[in-house]
Amino acid sequence: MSKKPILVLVALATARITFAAGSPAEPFFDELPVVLSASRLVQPVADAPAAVTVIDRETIRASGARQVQELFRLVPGFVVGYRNGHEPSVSYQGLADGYVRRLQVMIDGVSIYSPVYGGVDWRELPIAIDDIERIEIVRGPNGASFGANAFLAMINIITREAVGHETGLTLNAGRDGIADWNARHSGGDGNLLYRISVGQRADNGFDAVSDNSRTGFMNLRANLRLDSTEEVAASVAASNGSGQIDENFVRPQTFENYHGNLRWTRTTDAGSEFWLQLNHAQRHLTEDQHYLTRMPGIPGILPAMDLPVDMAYKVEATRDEFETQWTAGSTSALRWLGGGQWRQDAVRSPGLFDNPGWLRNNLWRLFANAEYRLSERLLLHAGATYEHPSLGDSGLSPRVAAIATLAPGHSLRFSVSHAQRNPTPYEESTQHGYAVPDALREAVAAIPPEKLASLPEPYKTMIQQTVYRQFAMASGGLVSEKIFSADIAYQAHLPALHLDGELRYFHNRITGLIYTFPISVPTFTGLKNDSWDFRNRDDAHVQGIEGSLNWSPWAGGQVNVAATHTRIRSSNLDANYSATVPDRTASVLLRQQLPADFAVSVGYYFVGPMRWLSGGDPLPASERFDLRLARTFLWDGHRTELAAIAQNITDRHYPDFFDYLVARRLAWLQLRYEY
Amino acid sequence: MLQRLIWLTLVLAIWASTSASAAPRIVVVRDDSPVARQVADMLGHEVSRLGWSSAEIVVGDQLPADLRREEGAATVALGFTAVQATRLLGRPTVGALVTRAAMEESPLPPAERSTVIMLDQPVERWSALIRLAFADRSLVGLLAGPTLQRSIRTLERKFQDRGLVLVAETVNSGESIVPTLDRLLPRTRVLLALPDPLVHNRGTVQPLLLTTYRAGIPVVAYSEAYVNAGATISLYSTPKQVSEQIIESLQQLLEGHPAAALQSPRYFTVGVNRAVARSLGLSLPSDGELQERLQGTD
Repeated sequence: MSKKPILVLVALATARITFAAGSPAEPFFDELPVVLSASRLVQPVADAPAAVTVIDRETIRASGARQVQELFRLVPGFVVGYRNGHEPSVSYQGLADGYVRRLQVMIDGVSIYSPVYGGVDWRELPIAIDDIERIEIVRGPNGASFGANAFLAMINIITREAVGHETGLTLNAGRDGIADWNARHSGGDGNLLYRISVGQRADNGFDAVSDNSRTGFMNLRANLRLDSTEEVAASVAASNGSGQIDENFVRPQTFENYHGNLRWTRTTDAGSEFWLQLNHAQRHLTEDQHYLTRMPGIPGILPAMDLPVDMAYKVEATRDEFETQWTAGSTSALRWLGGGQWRQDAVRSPGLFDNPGWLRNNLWRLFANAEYRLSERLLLHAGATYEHPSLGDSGLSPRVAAIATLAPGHSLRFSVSHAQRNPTPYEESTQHGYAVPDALREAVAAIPPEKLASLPEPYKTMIQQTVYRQFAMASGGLVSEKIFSADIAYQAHLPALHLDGELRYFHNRITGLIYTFPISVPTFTGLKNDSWDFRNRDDAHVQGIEGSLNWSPWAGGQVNVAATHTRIRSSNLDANYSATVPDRTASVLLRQQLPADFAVSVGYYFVGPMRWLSGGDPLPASERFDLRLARTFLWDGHRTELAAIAQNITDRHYPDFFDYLVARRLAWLQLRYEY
Repeated sequence: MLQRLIWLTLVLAIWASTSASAAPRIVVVRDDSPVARQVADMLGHEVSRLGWSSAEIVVGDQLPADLRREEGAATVALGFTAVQATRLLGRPTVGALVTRAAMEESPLPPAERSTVIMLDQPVERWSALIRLAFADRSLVGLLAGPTLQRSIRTLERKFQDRGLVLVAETVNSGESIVPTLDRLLPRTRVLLALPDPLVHNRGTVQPLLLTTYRAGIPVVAYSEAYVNAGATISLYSTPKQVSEQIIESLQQLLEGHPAAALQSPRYFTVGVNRAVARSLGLSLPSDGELQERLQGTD
């Protein structure tokens, strides 16, 4: 992130501060800044044009989650799996492998969708779970609001704003190397408020493999009020760390991430807001390993050799965005917002793309969404994004929805939407392979071609499937995947009973699914080896019922229930998509405040049989219970909480993603101190 | 005795000549705040519409020398400095744009034929508004800084009369607002923001509104700016409403009727921030309906 523009803006802003201390005699007529502006206000779930789940701070704490991805088990239709201890996959309604490309994920409205593979590197989030104010999840396409890749669902993680002088510390320590800490502080006064958070997450991953990891992170945000209508917000965040992937051999990885955001907002009244923002993000991932591999040799043809494997594999990615949005009429029957975005992603990875230079992808989009309250009983939504990407198709992602109130607290929602997922640079352009050592190249060149062509097994396979083969060779020309989605939902919002619930039927038609397609490519041996291209070949129809219920039946008690029943039909040409969607999922989170400032919560999570794509093993149905017991007390006059947390407390050994990754009980102690 | 009679006749004659005159002259003395200027302008228009005449004097730190020389049937004093400056002029005087806190801090000497219209809405109006807007919420939180602390008992009693429970926490520094709110909010369903410069100012409004909003607690506040900033409801008198009451009080004094030494605002506005109310999941009566029903309870 270039620091100069921020400094200049901050200097300009400081120069313009015109606030004096309020005149004590006339507070009645003092000008005040618009604090709860359109972008800070949360739309009530029952008024939203799509199915929305909100996970708030209390739920986050009660769930006992150590890491953000674990929270999505509470959302209808979401499944969380681990390819290894630190590479989680968060999917919604299946069709997913280790890189879940059909979900848009944002932090404070800024996409963190990977510009290389798609998906999100959850372990690399530069925030702590205590930095989160709430998470909003749109279940279903949301292209009309956020454009491409808000395809099956969209997650927006909203972080906590500075609200005064607070200092906090959280520590987690437990078996299996669990060692997390997070320290945070917010301060400032009047016109400048800031919040800073630093910390680390570390654990040893699964027992069966060597997949320990450590992530360090920091984030800082500052809000500078220029006058009663204008505000500048700046944030910087970074994470770095290391981990190991243990597949055929241990591959150590290191990563670094940097994010910067600068936003200027003008709010004229509670209903009208205009903002401009600049984002910059960059990521470096390195798997820097060199080792020797033993090639057994072919009697009389090829001598046994110790060969170097050069795994100096680097991925660098940057993203620059400029975005503007205008909201109007939040107080009248017609509310609308519109705006535009320009984005440039750049990727450099000689190992992935066989190209030493940067590959750049640009995108611009325009969007508008309107909400019109036709009468007390009928709320209409219409919105669309027009997008022009350099990878994928230009086009419109529209949505219309109507919410009819049947009786106070009871409503029906109908919505129809269309969205697309653009091909990733990896799918479109990868030339993924490893450099062939000269010694091997020369030795193979010395073998007469006819001998090579008639090699008996297993030698033929050995030569063809050497580590030096071409893993993937994309021919390009992919088009965007398309989804057409319709749903109908009954919603209950009954404050007198402390109950909110939703029952929803949805039908999604997805076309042009992009997946690997087997091809043969010539290699240094002159033989062809099996490799992969990417094609848009499969379609899928996914339909199902989702239910959710949040209920506080008595004081201090709350229950959150989510359950789904999903069916899928797919052409299954390139992958067994039909196996990727569990027919049933369910979660229950029960929490209860107890006497003497104790609190207990129990989570239950069930996922029906399923299979992740890209080599995932068939997984039987799995279920687990989590337990959290906490006590709050004053320590030296400051609020302190000590909690004991156990995930999978009954220690059921169920496979997670692969057969050999067995989930076991995890337990740790948590101390949270607020000063 | 005869001397007294002559004096009385003279006084009556002067009084009659001024009050019965077709064009009484009103001297508007104001401080230099924007709102005092705005009210003075409105009064100027209203005074000329009534066929009266007016003069305007701005008081700053120093009292202008011409204040006593300015002849007039009555004085309007806008702002506390102006009210203090004109207190002992001996003319009928209507003071306005004054807070109860300022009056309590520096009590004014008694003066005949003078009335002061305060900006603070009467406590009964606040409790009635909360009852009307939030029928199912009876726990009302209040952050009381130094200005409000002495009024807590009265507030509690009057709220109790309406079936409301006032839960007050005292605040003695701007920095302690958020921790105090964190303690207060779990025990309340509505937060009442009454003017207290330490608690409610440009620097504290953001933390206060964000914290209450996160807790799902609506804020009932005292100014138009507060409801625009994010309070759910505000109850306040606009400069126009203040000037209407000033004119009515002037007429009353000029006609020789006595007026209460202190008046609460007679006219008021109820403003609802619909966006915030909707986001908090509250369905509130319309602004007009709230105002009408509140007037009915006065």
